[in-house]
Amino acid sequence: MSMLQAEGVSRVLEGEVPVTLVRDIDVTFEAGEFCAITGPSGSGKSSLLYLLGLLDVPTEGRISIEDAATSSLPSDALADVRLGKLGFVFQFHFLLQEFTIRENVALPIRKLGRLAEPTALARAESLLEELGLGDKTRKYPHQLSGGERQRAAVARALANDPLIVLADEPTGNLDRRNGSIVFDIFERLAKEQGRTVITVTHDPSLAARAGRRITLVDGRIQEP
Amino acid sequence: MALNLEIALKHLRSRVRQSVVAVLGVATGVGFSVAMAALMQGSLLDFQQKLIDASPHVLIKDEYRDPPLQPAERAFAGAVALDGLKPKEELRGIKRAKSLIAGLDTVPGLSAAPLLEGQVVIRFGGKDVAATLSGIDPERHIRVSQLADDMSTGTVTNLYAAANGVIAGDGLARKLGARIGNLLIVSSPAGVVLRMKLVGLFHTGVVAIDDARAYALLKKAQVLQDRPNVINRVRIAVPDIHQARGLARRLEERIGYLTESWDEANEDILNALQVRNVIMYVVVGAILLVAGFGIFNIVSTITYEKAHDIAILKSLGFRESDVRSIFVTEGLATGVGGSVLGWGLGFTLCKILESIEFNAKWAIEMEGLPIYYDPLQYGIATAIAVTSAGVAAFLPARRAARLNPVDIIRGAA
Ligand SMILES: Nc1ncnc2c1ncn2[C@@H]1O[C@H](COP(=O)(O)OP(=O)(O)O)[C@@H](O)[C@H]1O
Ligand SMILES: [Mg+2]
Repeated sequence: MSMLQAEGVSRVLEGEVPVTLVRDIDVTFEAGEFCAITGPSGSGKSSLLYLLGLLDVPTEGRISIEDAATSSLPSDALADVRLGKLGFVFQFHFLLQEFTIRENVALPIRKLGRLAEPTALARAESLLEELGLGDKTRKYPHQLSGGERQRAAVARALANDPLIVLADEPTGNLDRRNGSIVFDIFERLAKEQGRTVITVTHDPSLAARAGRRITLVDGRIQEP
Repeated sequence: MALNLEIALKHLRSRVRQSVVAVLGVATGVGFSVAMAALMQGSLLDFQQKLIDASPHVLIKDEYRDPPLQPAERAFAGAVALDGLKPKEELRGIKRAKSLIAGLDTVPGLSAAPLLEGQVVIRFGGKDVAATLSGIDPERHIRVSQLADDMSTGTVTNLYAAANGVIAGDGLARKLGARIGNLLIVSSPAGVVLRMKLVGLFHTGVVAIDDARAYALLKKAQVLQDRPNVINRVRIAVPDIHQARGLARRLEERIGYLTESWDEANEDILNALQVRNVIMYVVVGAILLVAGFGIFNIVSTITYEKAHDIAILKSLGFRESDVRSIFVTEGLATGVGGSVLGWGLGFTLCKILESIEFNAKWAIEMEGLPIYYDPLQYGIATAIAVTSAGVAAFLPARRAARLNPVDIIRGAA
């Protein structure tokens, strides 16, 4: 069984001059895999990640999660899959400013509604603790450093124990040390917890740490 | 749901000044509509009460709703038109009045009293004032009217005490410059002149009555109008004034004479009050519309400001309907908050209006503004405010819910 699969996926933006973001993508990810997507700027890395994360819908081909096709699902069902099975980390942390970081992390847990409120907050705290933010759980995003915020965003992505973690240049705004910390976390998630981690990165030394590397050029996967 | 509410409230708190303005807008709308409704309803009820107190519940007149068919018209039924007819002179007055009143007396709860009403001119000290003089049977009359309570000087039975006693409205007496005990010269269209002694004054609060009405014994009025044994009105009191209209209709069907209930007799003035209500609703509607713009403004602003949050919530797995409900909740919360504040404002306004003292005469006398407190006023204003808040918020909320997270996330990168 594959965890995440793209078959013949293309995404074309309609318009007077149609723009092809990615084309003919065939790729399969397994559980426990840690994969880095690299490629020049504008090659379609983010576009591919949005498609794999069900935030965008391919114009051709199909995306399957745990061998279940997602193409025919209505937007509410896609939202539910994102909530229960996927975790996103973006280059910008996108934490909600009005909530403390433990409340931010608890947000998807409460949304999913499987845990009682106090348990949700407790889980958020323990996730933050694992990511070295145990003493900052009641702080607001603006009270944290960039590296801390990004780690909080990673904690939020992990809130509902996702099968798949998708990250788009999560270290783009971080210094080397903090970038390395985030990759340490990803490595552990894949190796120790058997999750699929897919991250876009510009940094060759960080990409080298991933078990698998995919390079995109002009919206296509370039075979090594 | 609780989560969406929490996010909504945090958003509102992030824009304190605008939120406060929107809440105050709603509060103003609700406050003023409550105060206006209380005032309108209060003055309507006050007015009605004074009318009811001063008017007969039901009045039988010696008239017909439609002019009676002339004998010639009856003879040539079907003719298109008959010209130059001289109408048959009918003796005015209610016929067989004694048996009519005796019949009414048998109905439990009803009271009936005969009157002879007629125009007179009252002269005193060189002043002539036109008035309506009603000849009454005092015992019966006090059972069908508030006259006994309305007496400001003297009593109704004083009419028996003097040879030719008359009771006048205090406004009428003031116009004449007459005091109790003065002899008034009263003349009728029939040419009879009587010297009558002013033995009492009454005050109803209805200007038209206080300024132009007088009472005498029925017998004296019949002498004055030169219509012995004739009455032209029967005044009826019912235990429940809401029965008056139905009773009047049934009576008229039975006896043929024009029979009016208090509300029918005062229909024009009551309709004028309805027009006032329309004006009130327009004003209140305008205030609430402005409040709606305030809510639209704050919710739109927040949806633009929080585009990143919307994108992240959707990427986390919040549905379109969740996002919509967050922003609609922001509108509703503003509407509810404003309404609660508006209740306080409305109640305070009512108290202030109530405390204003003045003396005004417009059809009825008012010493202050009559305020009627009714929870329904608050309920209706709140329902309208919260509904319009929901509608005002729905438009930006729908737009926000449809935002494509990918566009926003790309835009930020
Ligand atoms: N909405 C859009 N309209 C036009 N072109 C777009 C749009 N979104 C992305 N593109 C283009 O598609 C290409 C792929 O973008 P992206 O996936 O963000 O690349 P990467 O993440 O690898 O830098 C780029 O050339 C970008 O300019
Ligand atoms: Mg990119």
